Amino acid sequence: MRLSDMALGQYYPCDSLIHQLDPRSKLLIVFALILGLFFVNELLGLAGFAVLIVAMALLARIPFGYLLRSLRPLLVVIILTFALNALFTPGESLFKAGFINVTREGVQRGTFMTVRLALLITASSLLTLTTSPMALTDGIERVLSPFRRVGIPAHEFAMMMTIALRFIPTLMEEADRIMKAQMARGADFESGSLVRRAKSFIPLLVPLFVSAFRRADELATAMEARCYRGGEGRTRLKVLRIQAKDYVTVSFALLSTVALAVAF
Amino acid sequence: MSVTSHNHKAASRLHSFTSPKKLVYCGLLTAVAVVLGMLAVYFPIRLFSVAPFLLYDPADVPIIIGTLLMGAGHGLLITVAVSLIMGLYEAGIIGAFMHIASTGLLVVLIAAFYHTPEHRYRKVFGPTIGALYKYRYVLGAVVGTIGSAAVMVGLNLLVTPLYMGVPVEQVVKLLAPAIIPFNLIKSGINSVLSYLVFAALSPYLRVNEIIEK
Repeated sequence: MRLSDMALGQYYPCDSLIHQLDPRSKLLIVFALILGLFFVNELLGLAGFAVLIVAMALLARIPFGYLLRSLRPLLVVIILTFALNALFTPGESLFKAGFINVTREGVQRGTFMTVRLALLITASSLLTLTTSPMALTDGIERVLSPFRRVGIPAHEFAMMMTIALRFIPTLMEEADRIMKAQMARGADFESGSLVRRAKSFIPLLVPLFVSAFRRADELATAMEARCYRGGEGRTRLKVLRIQAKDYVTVSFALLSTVALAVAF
Repeated sequence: MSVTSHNHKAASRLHSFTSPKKLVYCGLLTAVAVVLGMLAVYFPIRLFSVAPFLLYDPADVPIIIGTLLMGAGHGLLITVAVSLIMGLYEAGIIGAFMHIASTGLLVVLIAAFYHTPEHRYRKVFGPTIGALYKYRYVLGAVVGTIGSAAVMVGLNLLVTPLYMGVPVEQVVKLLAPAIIPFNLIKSGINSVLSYLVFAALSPYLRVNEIIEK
């Protein structure tokens, strides 16, 4: 797999109701969903959340495969969660071979934990699938802005995130090129002891940093030349506005989350 | 040359906490950290076979370098940004909180030792031990590594049972053979690597007047 093919953003552009929601509303919904998932103690409650999440995915017109694909990076953790629970929960034995002892309670518990983990991940990927990185950082800035008074640099933080998201693909390509160049010179990134492998990062890291710093200098020069001076008094191309559909969707999502959390 | 004079001006503005220059540096360092974190997913380095989910990643290196360049505040900003991006797009939101806590402490401790001026060292430790100022990065890295490993132990005991449903006794069993040594080794390697890379970069940084002297 080529490194530059790896895409970070998984934004699925579309013009659905969920896509049109204010990023702040979506942040609130996802936060509530994640919190709600931890309050549920029964598989049935999780099923309710699954219905809720799938319904929102359908509303957002996201293909089901996209939702499942978001589970891939955490597949190891998911499998491990199931295995650990199945093996180490005491109870009625289902299958025994040597020190391996799978219990009925373990399988039940493992299923519950695995499903919850999967739902946690799909809930947050619902946010990144339906919100462009720009809108997301804008939303984060607005959510954080009340905390400006206590010294949290909300605008600067959002600006940093935007710059980072803009440059991740560029630097990814750069890293790919540097790795190939160093491999052509005989560098070995994939074998040897731990210290050796850590050391092998240096010929990759130094040029990568220099390239990043060079880009940073250019961008800073460009921003200063255009008199960038931070968040105060800055006007925006896209102004976030809470609309009626935000109120409706958020209250529906919050009510069903609270109902599920209380009932199960 | 006009370029040099501009660089000089930019360097002088690096002192303000929210100068555009610092902002851009933080942004780019965040991007480097995310790229390195993603690299680690595709070239996994497993330290312990008992716990295959503990993967080494050098994503803390740009964070530490940012801390050395700009101080604890910016180090923390980069830490939070990296954790959020990785958490949203790759690793799950729970991991993000754990990363903010452990790397955040590492960054604060490194900055506390590294950015303390020499006279303060002499005042606190006396004239003889005050000479430790020369080794302030080593001090910060050692204390920071131990601190962040301690935070990870606490969080693993607290969060893992809740998140993965693994009983606390199982987590305790994993502490000595995997969790503690993994976090010590990971932060240790990252601290050493950061310093080596920082040293290699310092001629570039000096020529471009990003750091003084």
